[in-house]
Amino acid sequence: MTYYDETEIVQRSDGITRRRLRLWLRRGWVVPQESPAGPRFDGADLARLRLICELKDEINLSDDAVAVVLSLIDQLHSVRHELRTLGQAIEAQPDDVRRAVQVAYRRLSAG
Amino acid sequence: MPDDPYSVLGVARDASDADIRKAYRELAKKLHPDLHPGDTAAEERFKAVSAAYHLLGDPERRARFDRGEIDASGAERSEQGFYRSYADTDGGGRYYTASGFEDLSDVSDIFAEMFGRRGRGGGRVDLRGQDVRYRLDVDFLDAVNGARRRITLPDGKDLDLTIPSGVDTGQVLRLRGKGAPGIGNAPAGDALVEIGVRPHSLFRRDGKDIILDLPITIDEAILGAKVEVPTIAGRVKMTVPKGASTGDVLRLRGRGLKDRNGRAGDQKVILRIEAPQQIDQELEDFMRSWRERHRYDPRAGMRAQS
Repeated sequence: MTYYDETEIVQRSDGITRRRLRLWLRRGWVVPQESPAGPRFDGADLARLRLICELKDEINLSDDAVAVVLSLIDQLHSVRHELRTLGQAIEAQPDDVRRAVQVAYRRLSAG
Repeated sequence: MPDDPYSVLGVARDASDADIRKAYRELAKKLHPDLHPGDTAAEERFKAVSAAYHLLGDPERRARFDRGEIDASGAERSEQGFYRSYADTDGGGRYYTASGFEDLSDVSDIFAEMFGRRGRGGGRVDLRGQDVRYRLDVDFLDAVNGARRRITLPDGKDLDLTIPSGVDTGQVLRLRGKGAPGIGNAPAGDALVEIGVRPHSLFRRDGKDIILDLPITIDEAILGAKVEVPTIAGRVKMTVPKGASTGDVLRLRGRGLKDRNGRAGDQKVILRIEAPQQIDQELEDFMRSWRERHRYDPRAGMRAQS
């Protein structure tokens, strides 16, 4: 996996200044790994930083709104992750169990 | 050939730079893929909108496009990837949150067991121990009055169990933490003890009420009597009224089970007249002579209806 330090992050992204980066770290919007040489960012962190830039600069959200949106996005991805894992767990079951889950699910979602 | 960037953004060809920026922001709000994970149509449209804005948002590039020096494919978003492509794989795992699932535990323990372990910096697995089911048959009176029982588990351990008064067949007692041990820091599962109540030779149960069939003699039925009746809390005296019949129900108030609020049910005593085992001559003679002069018909009503 590729890692970036603070300088590389700032160089790689138009909207990210060193000041912004430190502020967002303090707020916990991005949580890079800690290393003796300072924070180490991976691809997910970089993509998240760019997302924050877009939310602020392109969609014009205030800082408060960015915090809300990030929290909702994190919750949404958690749910998607659990849903996918649950799907895989069901997928790994024998046929009759999978069918039983399907039937129960359809009955429940039909209300 | 990509669509005309002006129509992608929904602006006129002579729109000002500010209008173009405004139109782009509106669309970005609606379409940004990270605000719609899983919606591929939104992603396609967002890419087109981004490309159009890349072209028209920069006055110099816009001028070259208007002069026909570059075409609409002049720009596409670089291959940096959206955050969601990380978040949907394990790369974004540290940003997951467990806070969204707590309420789902009401729906099913399975959510608490599976999702409860999620947290920042996960990796170590904490998994609540499994619940272990047992079945325990108890005597009717123990179920009614409550009791303590010691049961021996398959692993050899003894478990002291308080059987609450009024427990009924099919009820499950949950003993927190007495099930299989948990994994990691998670707590042990629960022991679930399903109660079976053995039938009693005299008493039956109907909710809070106790039902008892009580045999009485002919003379007790005719003349009335004070008789001794078993209840779940020992014997009591009860008055059989004069002229009682089989099937009459007498109620001993407060002799049933107590509910959670301390209100007690009743014992219902169903009378059954039992003839003497030996019909002696005296009884026979008396009945014959009595019948001559006092014939009555308990089936008259029945005939009227059939």
